[in-house]
This record gives sequence, C-alpha cells and structure tokens, in this order.
Amino acid sequence: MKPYEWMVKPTPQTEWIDGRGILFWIAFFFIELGAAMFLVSSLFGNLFGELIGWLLCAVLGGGFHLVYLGHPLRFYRMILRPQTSWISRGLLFVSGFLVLGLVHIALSLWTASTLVLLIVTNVLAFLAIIYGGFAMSYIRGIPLWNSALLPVLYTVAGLWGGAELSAVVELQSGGPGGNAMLEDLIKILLAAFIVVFPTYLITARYGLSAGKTSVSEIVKGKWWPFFWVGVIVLGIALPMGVIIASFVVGISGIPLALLYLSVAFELIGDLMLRYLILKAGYYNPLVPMPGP
Amino acid sequence: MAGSRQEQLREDTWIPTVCGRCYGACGIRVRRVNGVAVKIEGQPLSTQGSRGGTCAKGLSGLQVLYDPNRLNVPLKRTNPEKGLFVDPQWKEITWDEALDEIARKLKAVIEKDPKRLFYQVTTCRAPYLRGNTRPIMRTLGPPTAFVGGGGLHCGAGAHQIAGMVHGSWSIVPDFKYCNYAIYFGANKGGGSGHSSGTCIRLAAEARTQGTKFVAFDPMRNFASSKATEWIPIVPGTDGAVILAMCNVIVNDLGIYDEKYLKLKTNGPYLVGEDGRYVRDGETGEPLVWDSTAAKAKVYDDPSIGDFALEGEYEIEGKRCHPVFGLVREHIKKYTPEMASKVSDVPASTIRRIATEFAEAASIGSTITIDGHNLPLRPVSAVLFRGGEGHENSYHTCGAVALLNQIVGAADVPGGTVGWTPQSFGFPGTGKPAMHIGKGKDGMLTVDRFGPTFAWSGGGPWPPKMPEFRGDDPALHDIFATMFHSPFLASSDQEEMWQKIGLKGGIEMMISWGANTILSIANREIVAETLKRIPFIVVSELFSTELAEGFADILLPDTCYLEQADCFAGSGMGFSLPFAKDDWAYHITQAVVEPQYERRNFVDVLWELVDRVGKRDQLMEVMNDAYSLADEYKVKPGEKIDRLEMCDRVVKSLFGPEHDWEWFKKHGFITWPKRVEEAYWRCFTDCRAPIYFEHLIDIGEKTREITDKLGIDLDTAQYTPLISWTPCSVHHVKDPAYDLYCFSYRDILHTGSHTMEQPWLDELSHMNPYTYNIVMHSETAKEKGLKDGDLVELETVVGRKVEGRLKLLTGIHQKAVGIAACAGHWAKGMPIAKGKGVNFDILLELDLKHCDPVSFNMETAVRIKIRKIG
Amino acid sequence: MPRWGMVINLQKCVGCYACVLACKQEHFLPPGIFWGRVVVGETGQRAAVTKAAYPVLCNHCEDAACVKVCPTGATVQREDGIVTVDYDKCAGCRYCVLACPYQQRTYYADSKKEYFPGQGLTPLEKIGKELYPLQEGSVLKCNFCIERIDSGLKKGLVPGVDREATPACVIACPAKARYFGDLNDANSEVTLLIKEKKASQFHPEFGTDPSVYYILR
Ligand SMILES: Nc1nc2c(c(=O)[nH]1)N[C@H]1C(S)=C(S)[C@@H](COP(=O)(O)OP(=O)(O)OC[C@H]3O[C@@H](n4cnc5c(=O)[nH]c(N)nc54)[C@H](O)[C@@H]3O)O[C@H]1N2
Ligand SMILES: Nc1nc2c(c(=O)[nH]1)N[C@H]1C(S)=C(S)[C@@H](COP(=O)(O)OP(=O)(O)OC[C@H]3O[C@@H](n4cnc5c(=O)[nH]c(N)nc54)[C@H](O)[C@@H]3O)O[C@H]1N2
Ligand code: SF4
Ligand code: SF4
Ligand code: SF4
Ligand code: SF4
Ligand code: SF4
Ligand SMILES: [Mo]
Repeated sequence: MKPYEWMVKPTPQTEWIDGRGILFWIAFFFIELGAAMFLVSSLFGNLFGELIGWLLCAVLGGGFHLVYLGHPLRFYRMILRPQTSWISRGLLFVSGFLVLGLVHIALSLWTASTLVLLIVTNVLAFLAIIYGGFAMSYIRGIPLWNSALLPVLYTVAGLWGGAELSAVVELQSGGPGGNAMLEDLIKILLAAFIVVFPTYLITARYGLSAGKTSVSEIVKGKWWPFFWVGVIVLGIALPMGVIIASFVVGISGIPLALLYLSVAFELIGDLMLRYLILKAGYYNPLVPMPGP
Repeated sequence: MAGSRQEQLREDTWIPTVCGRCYGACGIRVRRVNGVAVKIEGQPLSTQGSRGGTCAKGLSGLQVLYDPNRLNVPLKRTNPEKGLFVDPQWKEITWDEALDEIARKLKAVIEKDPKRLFYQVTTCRAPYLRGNTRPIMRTLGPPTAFVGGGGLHCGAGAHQIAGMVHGSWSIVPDFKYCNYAIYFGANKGGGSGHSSGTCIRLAAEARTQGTKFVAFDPMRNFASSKATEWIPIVPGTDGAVILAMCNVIVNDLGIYDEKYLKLKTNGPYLVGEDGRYVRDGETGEPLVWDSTAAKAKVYDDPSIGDFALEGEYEIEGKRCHPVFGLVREHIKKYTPEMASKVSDVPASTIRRIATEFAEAASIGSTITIDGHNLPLRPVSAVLFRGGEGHENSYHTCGAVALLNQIVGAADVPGGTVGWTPQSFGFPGTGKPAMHIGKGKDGMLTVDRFGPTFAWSGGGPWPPKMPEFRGDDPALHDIFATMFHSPFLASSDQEEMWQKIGLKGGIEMMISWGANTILSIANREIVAETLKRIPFIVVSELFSTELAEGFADILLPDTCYLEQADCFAGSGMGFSLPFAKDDWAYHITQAVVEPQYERRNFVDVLWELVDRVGKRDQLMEVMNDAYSLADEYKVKPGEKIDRLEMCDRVVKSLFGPEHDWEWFKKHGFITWPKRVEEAYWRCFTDCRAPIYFEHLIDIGEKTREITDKLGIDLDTAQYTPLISWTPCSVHHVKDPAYDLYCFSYRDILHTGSHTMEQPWLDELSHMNPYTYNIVMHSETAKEKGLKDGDLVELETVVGRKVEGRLKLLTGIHQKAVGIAACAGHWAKGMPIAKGKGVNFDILLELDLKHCDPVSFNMETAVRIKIRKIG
Repeated sequence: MPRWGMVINLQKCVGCYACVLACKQEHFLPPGIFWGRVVVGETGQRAAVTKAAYPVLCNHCEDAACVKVCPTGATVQREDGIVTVDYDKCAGCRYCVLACPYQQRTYYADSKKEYFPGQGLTPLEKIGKELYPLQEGSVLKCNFCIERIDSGLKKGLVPGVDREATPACVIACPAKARYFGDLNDANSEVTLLIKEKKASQFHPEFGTDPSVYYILR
C-alpha cells in the first residue's frame, strides 16, 4: 500500500499482525487453544490435558501477549476498565481462569478439587476462549471483524483445536473412556466450523466495501496459499477426510500417525485462519475515491 | 508545556520576519527557545501573506535551518573536469582564499567588459535579492543578468503585458469584489504564483462568498480543483480560446465597455494602412476621430466631444480606422469553432463562458468605496506560467489583457488588478512613492521608488528599440522585447555568438541560488553552456547539481532564518498587498545567528565590491536607488556596514522613529491604502494598449538586423493585432507522439529545493501526484498502462525521462503532467536525491523553441509513452 | 462545561498540508507520526470529477470508541470533550489504534528515528525531545492542542478566538478553513457555522458522534 492510499483505499490494520504485532496473533491463538484444551480435557477428566492447556494459555499465550505490549510492566493496568473494554474483560477472564485453573490442578494433584471450582474455572476458560472474537468484532471500522459471526467462528475454532489436542492426550494416555464422545464432539465442532466459516466470509463479502476487499484478500490475495492450502486443505479437508475414513474403517483403523498429523494440520489451519483474518482486517476508507 | 519545564527555559521568544521559501514573502514569526528556532507561524497582523497562516513549505524552513547537509564552509573544486554527475572533489578553503580568488577574477572581467560577467539569481528569493542585486549590478557594470530558469519559463510575456496594461509585474483578480474569475493556466490562490499566501487567503474567502471560478487547465489539481468549473485544454492554445471569447463578446453579443475603451485604451487611436498610428503633423501625437466635431484631433485634446471607436476616416487623403474597429474585425476569425478545434474546448463552452463573463461584468454598474463612486466590474481573467509558457507568450498575455479591457475590468473594483503600482507613501514621509503616469502616446508609465517596489530594468513603457552592437552575449541589443535571454543556456548559444561576431563568451559566472541544471531545459544543453564558462562561483545553501557539476568555488550562504535585510517582501512589488488590502513593509531578520562559516551573500557581495575598489560607487548608487533622505546619504569615503544601511533605508522610508531597532521589534509596518492607490486607474489619465503598435517598428528593425546576421527569426508575431499562433508542439505530425506533457507547481514544493526537507518529502509521499507522472485513466487503458507502472516518456528528438504512473480522471485525455522541478542526483542533497521526475530533461532550448517576441520558452512538449516496468 | 469542537470548511481548504506540519512542529512529532493528515484523491465522475482534499484529525468523539476499548484507562475523555492519552498509563496494547474507525491513533514504536537518517538528531529534534517528551511504547494522537487550550484559559483567553489558546493547525491554515470553539455555546463561531453552512460530521455511521464538522464543497 502506498502512503497516499491510506484511508482512500481500504486500508489494512497493521498493529495486530505486522512487526511485533505478529506476537499478538500467536498470543491469542495460544490463549484460546490452551483454555479450550483445559476445558475439553476437564470434561473428560484428563488432568494431564488440563495441565498442558493451562501451560499453553499461561506460558505461550500470556507470555507472547506480554512481550507484545509496549510497556509490559504496565500489564496489570489492563484489567482496570472491564465496564467497557473487551481487553480488560478478557484479561480478567484469562487471569481468573489461570489462577483458578492452577488452584484446581494443584488441588487435583495433591488432594482433590471441587466440582464448583472446576465449573467456575471452566466458565472462565470459556469466556477466555470467546473474548478474542468479541474484542475484534467490536471494531467498527473493519467490516470483516465487525460481525456477530466472528466470535462464533473463533469459539468454534478454539474449541475444536482444544478438543483435537485433548484427543491427542487421550490417545497418548490410552484411556479408552470418553474417546467416542470426544470424537463426536470433534465431529460436531468440525461440522459447525464448516457451516460458520463460509457464512462468515459470505456475509463479510457482501457488507461494506472494505469487507469485499478483505474477503478477496483472503481467498485470492498475496496470502492465498494460507487460505487454500492451510485452511481449506490442511485445516478442513484433511481432518474431514480422516473423520470420514473413521466412519468407514473405525477410528482404530486409522494409523496413529495420521491421526496426529490430522490434529497438527487442523491446528495449522486454525493458525492460518487467524493470521488471514488479522491480515485482511481492512478499514473502510474515509474518503473512498472511485477513480482508477 | 508543563509548568515545571518552563523554569528550565532560559529563553522563549518570538521573532518577526518574513518567509523565504517562495517569493510570496509572507510575514511570519518564529519562536526561539534556548537559542533553537522551534516553531514558525504566520504574522496575523500583516496583510502580506495569509494573515496568520503559512503553507507547509513555509513551516518546513526549520529543516532548512537545521539540515546537516547545509554548506558550512567555502569549498573549492579540485577535479578539473566539469560536467553532469562529475564529482567535484571539494576541498575546504578559507573565506579569505575564496574572496581573494573571486575578487581577482571579478576585477579582471569587469575591467575588460562587465557583460562577460554572468550574474544569475534564483526566483524563490526574488523579493529579497532584488533590492540588493540591482545597485550591485549597476555598480559592477551592469553584467549580463539572468533569473534562474524562471526568466524563461515564467513571466517573459506576462510581465511585459502586465507592465504595459496594469503598471505591475503581474495580475490577479480583485478577489474581494470579483464575482467571476477565469484562469488560463495560473494557480492564484491554489498555492503558487505571486503573493501565494495572500492569494490563498483571499481566494478562499471569495469562494465562500460565491465567486465563480472557471479554470482552463490541462489538469484538475490546485486552483482548478477549487474552481467552480474546470475546462480541460490543450497546452498552448489559450490564446485561441481567449480571442474566440473576445469575438463572441464583442461581435456576437455586442457587449463592450465603450467608456473604458475610449478613455483608457488606444481603442480610438486612428491607424493608417501601414498599421501605425496616424499622427498629428505638428505634435507627432496619435490622432483620434472626434465624432461630435467630425474631425481628427490629438487623443488628449480636451475639446473632444466623443471618440469614434469604429468606422473609416480619411485624413490628408489617407484612409484610416480606429484601433477598436480593426481589432473587432480582426478577432472575427477566432470563431469558437476554430478555437475549439485547436484547444479541445467545445465551441458551446467557449460561447457560454464568454457570455457569462460579459454578463457578469455588469458594464455600467458602480460601487462606492470610501466615499468614491467607482466603476464596478466584478469579472477577471488572469493567466500565468501555464497559459503563457509557450511560443505565443506575448500575444496570449495580450489576449487576456484584451478580454479584461473589453469589459473595462482593469484596475477597477472587482476586475483584474496588478500589484498596486500607485503609492503616495507612508503618511509623513511620502515614501515609498510609486506613480502611474502618462508617457509616450498617452500610454501608462510607472515611476517607482528605487529597487524596492521596482518594476524591472527601465520599466514597461516606452519599449526600447533594437540596436545592434554585437557585444552582448545575451543578445538583448537585437531583441528589444526579449525579457530574459535563452541564449545564456541554449543549444544554439555558440551559433548565435558566432553570428553576432562575439569573440569569446561569458568569462565568469556568479550564481546566487538557482539550480539551472534542473530548472531550465534539458540538462545536457545547459551543461554545455556552463562548460564554456571558465570560472563559476555559486552561493548556495546546498551542494546542488549545478554546484557539483560546474562550480569552481562554492560559498555557504545563510538561509533566510539567519539573514537580516531591509528588503524582505518588497521585491518587484509582487509580494506586496494588492487591491484594497492595506500596505505593509516587512524586514527580514535573523532568528538565529549564522552557524559555522556561513556568510550572508549580500555581505559577500559588498566585500567583493570593496575588493574591486568600487565601494564608494556602490554607496553612491545606493544613495540614489534607495532614495535615501539627505541626512542618511552615505558620504564619500564613509564606511558603513550593511545593517547601518538597513537602518538608514527604513528611517528614510518611515521616519527616524521607525529605525532598524523598531523594525527588529515589530518586523513590519502597515498603513492604510487609499482608494486612489488601489484603484488608481479611475483617478489617472493614461491609457493601455489593446493594439501593439510598437511591435511594428520593433519587428521591422529586428528583422533588418537578423536578416543581416543570418539569424532565422520568424517575425510573424511582431504584429500589432493580438493573435494566436500555434507552437511547435502543435506541429508534431508523427502520431506516435500523441501526448502533451506539461509541468505544474505543487503546493508542497518551490522550484527544486524543497525536496530536501524531510517533512515535505514525507508529505509528498502522502500525496498521490507529487512524485508521480499523471495521466488520464482512459488514455492509459487504451495504451495498456496501469496505475503504478514504471513508464518512460520520450520526445520527438529522443529525450527521455522515467517515473511511476498515477492515473486520474481530472486531466485532459491527451495530457501527461509532472509536478515541480524534481529528480535530484547531487550528493549534497541526500533527502531530495532520486525523488520525483525532472520534467525539464524533455525541454529544448533554442531560438526555435521560444516566443520570438518575449522569448519565453516553450514549456510543453509532445511525447510518447511506454511501459518499462 | 464547554465541548470543544472544530469546523473545517472544505470549500476553503486548498490541501496545503500546513495543518499537518504545524501540528508536527507544535508537538515535535518524530518521523512517520502524524496527528493530523490530509487525505487526497479524486471524487465524482466524469465532468464533475475533482480532486478532493480532506484534512483529518482526531474527532474527539463524544462517544469515543478509543476511550471505551482502552483497558488501562490511559485514554480518557475530559469533561470538555477532549480525548487524551496518558502516556504514563498506556500499556501499549494498541486496542485503541484498532478501534478508532477514523484511524487517528499511532503506536509510537521507535523513538530512535532521525529526520536525516544516519546523520544524527538535529538541534530541533533534540530540544523537541526535551520540551515535549513522548513515550516510546505508548499510543499517540491529536490532543486538540490541550496545552494551548488549558494555558490559554488560565490566561483568560478564549480558544478559537485568541490565537494563543487555539489549536496550532487552526491558526496555521493559510486559507482560514479551520475554526475552533465551543459546540455547547449556541453563539460560538463553530456552532453558528455548523447551523448556517449545514456542516456535517464525517462518517456519522460509526456512531461515535465526532466533534469535528465539515462544510462540504
Ligand atoms: N519542471 C519544472 N521546471 C521548472 C518549472 C516548473 O514548473 N517545472 N518552473 C520554472 C520557473 S517558473 C522557475 S522561476 C525556475 C526556478 O528555478 P531556480 O531559480 O533555479 O530555482 P530552484 O531550482 O528552486 O533553485 C533555487 C536554489 O536556490 C537555493 N537557495 C534558496 N534560498 C537561498 C538563499 O537564501 N541563498 C542562496 N544562496 N541560495 C538559496 C536553493 O538551495 C536552490 O538550490 O524553474 C523553472 N523550471
Ligand atoms: N508552491 C509554489 N509556489 C510558487 C513557486 C513554486 O515553485 N512552488 N514558484 C513561483 C514561481 S517562480 C512562479 S513563476 C509562479 C508560477 O505560478 P503559476 O503560473 O500559477 O504556475 P503553476 O502553479 O505551475 O500553474 C500553472 C498551471 O497551468 C497549467 N498549465 C500548464 N500548461 C498549460 C497551458 O498550456 N494552458 C493552460 N491553460 N494551463 C496550463 C498547469 O497545470 C498549472 O495548473 O509560482 C511561484 N510560486
Ligand atoms: S506562500 Fe511562500 S512565502 Fe508564504 S509561507 Fe508559503 S512558502 Fe512561505
Ligand atoms: S476519532 Fe478515533 S481516536 Fe479520536 S476520539 Fe474518535 S475514536 Fe477516539
Ligand atoms: S494502547 Fe494505551 S491508550 Fe491504547 S488502548 Fe492500550 S492502554 Fe489504552
Ligand atoms: S488540534 Fe492540535 S493536536 Fe490536533 S491536529 Fe490540530 S494541531 Fe494537532
Ligand atoms: S492548512 Fe488549511 S488549507 Fe491547508 S490543508 Fe489544512 S485545512 Fe486545508
Ligand atoms: Mo518562475
């Protein structure tokens, strides 16, 4: 983009993806993935999964977020405006989740946690999963983001990733119990994703002008391989193939390596998707020029 | 600023002075904190400028002051080779070494022949340079003088016609009362032109009051984008359109201001078969036909009952006609259809605009201002570089003057005015005084106070006659109406010198600013002429292309924020408040003291004059030129410094209480302008031409000389009847060269030197057009070109430039525009380096590419375009 | 309580960028940082096509998105409507940068930039860092020249009337296209102009209720 095209043509946001902004992308991915993994794992009583989820959220998610900040030491200030700011809310959710999650894990290791604590922790984990989508959809100037479907999409994607990771842990620990349910959950989330994602893109495409730019940037812009290879093939088609295959040959018929691979692909797909949505966050121009 | 910080400040003060980033010379004030200039603002109380504002160029002056690339010490070339892109291998020398060498050479050249000294100044500091330059030139010889690239690109036609018609350097609408203004390639109020800041303010105000602006321009950018109506036009064809409008108004609508034509122009003068005035046998004065008495009388005979404007009369057996009748007949050939064919302006548009203009003129209406009842003609037609920058410059400017005068809209409320040439002076001293008077044949003359407020060498009227001497490298002796000489930088320079028998050429050059390698024409052409000059001294702020390639000695000047001078905004008068805005007189003063070894070049010139032993002579010239009051005159042998001179000048002008100290404190002085000054025409008995009788004699004489010398001059335009002649750009037959390329000024840049300020560079990148080549999106589509393509433009003779394409729709479909004077490569200007496109590479410069009357050069060029990346 | 506001008359504006630079000078803004800008392009079709120059700056929105999203409380709205950033409180999360639909905020990422790259800071840049310190890692934006308004008011001056108390970009404008004053005062120049010339807010659909109004050409 040329400097003179600023807000004359649809103008991409840069703060949350370019330069150090790249850290923001990674931070959000891990916060949501970790929280979702904790949540799903806890549904199946997989403490190891909970721990991994917590660590992903706290170390990678929180860590990258901190490094991303201009003034990391003022981090604590960011919880001061939950009345109006989704970032404040989010950080309260995340920190609440991390504190309670840690207590829960600790109690579980030494003695036993309580159901109430777990429920509260999971409510916070869920809120930590959804807040990113809300924070973005609050942004009016970017039509691609300013969509009620974005939080839904992020929630579905987050939970799906979390579920996939939990499944890996399940497979690792070899516990047969809950596997079928987890698989069903994954299938449901995949199905939901397949419905929500195109709907999201289509509604954005037919919204304000910058929305159109965003969508075409996603599907045929510079980063098109991220979309077609990363999101569609790796992220959706391959996991779907594995699931369809599992209908035919049963989950146990699928080679373990392929299962792991499909989880990895799904995560890559999710990461690419988030990258694309951040990268294609175009503002509606202030002075749209119809000229050439 | 936080209160606690305030205490740490040792100093926090505002210093009033003037801006020096273009020749507008807006009043400014500069804030200095702890010795550092930190902020520039406009001077709200002065009428010189926008009354408190400035443009971005003005603000960016702080980055001229603090540019680490500024010259700080005198430099001497050690590389004997000269040429474009040559590294001069500068060596630092002391001021004494520099001055010794320069003075030695200067003495030799002026003793031999001052005309072999080529003295050039930049336009951008014209108001400042002017007052100092003229006396020094007079003292030195005078030498051969030149005004940067400007003399050739701008004003050659416009200044002469404005001088003859308005007694002024240039013209402008009387924004305050004007309802309908037409621009033929001028940017008055759009960020360039004379009094740029003042015009921005006044034109903006006029827009909100409903003044209609019509802009004929190949591109819809500055003034044209603010115009009510933009009319795309083929470059160089304005004259045809203007004359067609005159034709519609006079012949179709039958509208004209009879009274004005009879009393204020040569319209009633009788012209014989030979085109010359029919003169009174006794007095030699031009005759008119008194239709009441049915006999011929001298034009100013008080007994005249009424002037005949038309008809055929016989005097002493010779048939004759009044000028107006001839003009009326002559312009019939400029039908809107004819003009439309060459200009691409629809004939219906020409008719409509002509009609609107004539009706808006409301001939006969009056207005009372300060108790005076005056004609009100709220219409104005103006032009400058765009319309006049062609091989038909003189006549195109004449056409504009004709259009204005037909409806009587010249120097009356609402009409076209000059920069007020009539001044009764400051109350109490009566200075500076400028007077419009009546000269030869009743035509107006300007008699002005010295070099400040001065018109130009000699004044506009009566014009000089050619007189061949063969000793002038500029050829001014042959071409009497030539404003600035192309032959100082043209490709046919040697040929011309040979033809006039000039032995040897220019021997020394002093260049005060001006970067002519970039700003005149193709750089190789200019380079050849510079290589012929054995010794070149350049005074500059930066090591420019001119300096690096050709200077033998490069002197570090102070910039305007480090200079002190009493000639700040006065110049040729075109920075002064015009129309009914009150008078203002500003000084320049140093906001910070000069850093390093930078020296004000005026002081350097004084020193040089001293070293060549002409100090007393200079003081004598200055006594006279500045019309110093007796008590302030410098006595022979008396040695005063320049600031002392400034003190005497201002005291002379404004009384002893307004001394230099007073001016340093206040920066400027204003006083009310009287109606008799602002709208002097209504109070002055003098006339302006609508018929250039003088061109007949000048043309014949010139022809005689050029024929003898074998100079192939086309004298067809030495015709008294204002005409339109096509230019070389219109004669290109090869269909490959299908586009007209032109240059325009960007509001962010002055000449070539503003690209060096990082602020302006940043802003230029934020503007879609400044650094790019612009053309119409449809034309681009036809040629398979896209926005952002790297393209090459090539002229018929194979001159090429390249740049990035920016498409738009607000441009004539056959036109390609390039902003400003860019494309630097000098090492001394790293910020400017490589930015924008140097349009001038495309331009030819020789006799054939100049208006044969004014010698304005052709500034449009035919090109073809191709994609190269 | 006043609500400070600005009116920009596009009919008068010539797109000279003086407002942009005056602001940079007033606040010693480093390379690449602009609190005001001029957006230039073409609008209209065919014969009616024209260059459009829109000077933009922070709108000091009544319902400011940036204030709402700021998690630290660094960005606040004063009672007089001015939206400010407290550099000492800002955590540099850039949510406000994203949230402003007018894109009037800039994250100050690099305080090492020089205007003459590689040639060191000029005396002007050096004194600027002293007189008007900015914080790397915080977010910057137009503050309606709060320093001028506050110190002006203290001296009994009227913002929008007295130059000293009026924003730098307003007094810099050579076309006098910019006006400043109290939107809550029915008799202020800005209020009267908005009424008379039917000035409108820029993109009211963003729902932020800007305090900057435009008179269209
Ligand atoms: N492409 C293109 N070319 C053009 C034009 C155009 O519109 N487009 N316009 C033409 C016209 S009308 C003109 S008048 C000419 C102007 O052409 P020039 O008069 O050559 O103007 P500049 O190229 O700006 O050169 C001015 C030089 O003066 C220096 N300078 C500035 N202030 C001072 C000072 O105080 N002291 C000293 N010693 N030097 C100083 C600057 O550093 C700069 O190098 O260009 C002509 N050339
Ligand atoms: N910002 C700024 N101001 C300046 C200067 C500067 O360099 N920058 N330089 C000063 C100087 S030296 C001068 S001479 C004046 C010049 O002041 P102006 O004469 O007003 O010059 P430009 O701004 O170049 O405006 C010329 C206009 O004519 C148009 N044009 C080009 N060719 C033609 C044509 O054939 N016919 C018609 N009708 N229009 C045409 C161009 O598109 C442009 O809009 O400005 C002075 N003020
Ligand atoms: S118009 Fe010319 S003199 Fe006035 S502020 Fe701008 S550059 Fe300076
Ligand atoms: S324009 Fe943007 S930064 Fe300014 S107050 Fe409104 S939302 Fe906030
Ligand atoms: S970057 Fe600073 S001002 Fe902006 S939202 Fe974050 S904390 Fe608030
Ligand atoms: S109001 Fe002040 S801070 Fe805001 S853009 Fe104008 S000059 Fe800059
Ligand atoms: S300073 Fe005035 S004229 Fe210049 S761009 Fe800004 S608002 Fe427009
Ligand atoms: Mo010029």
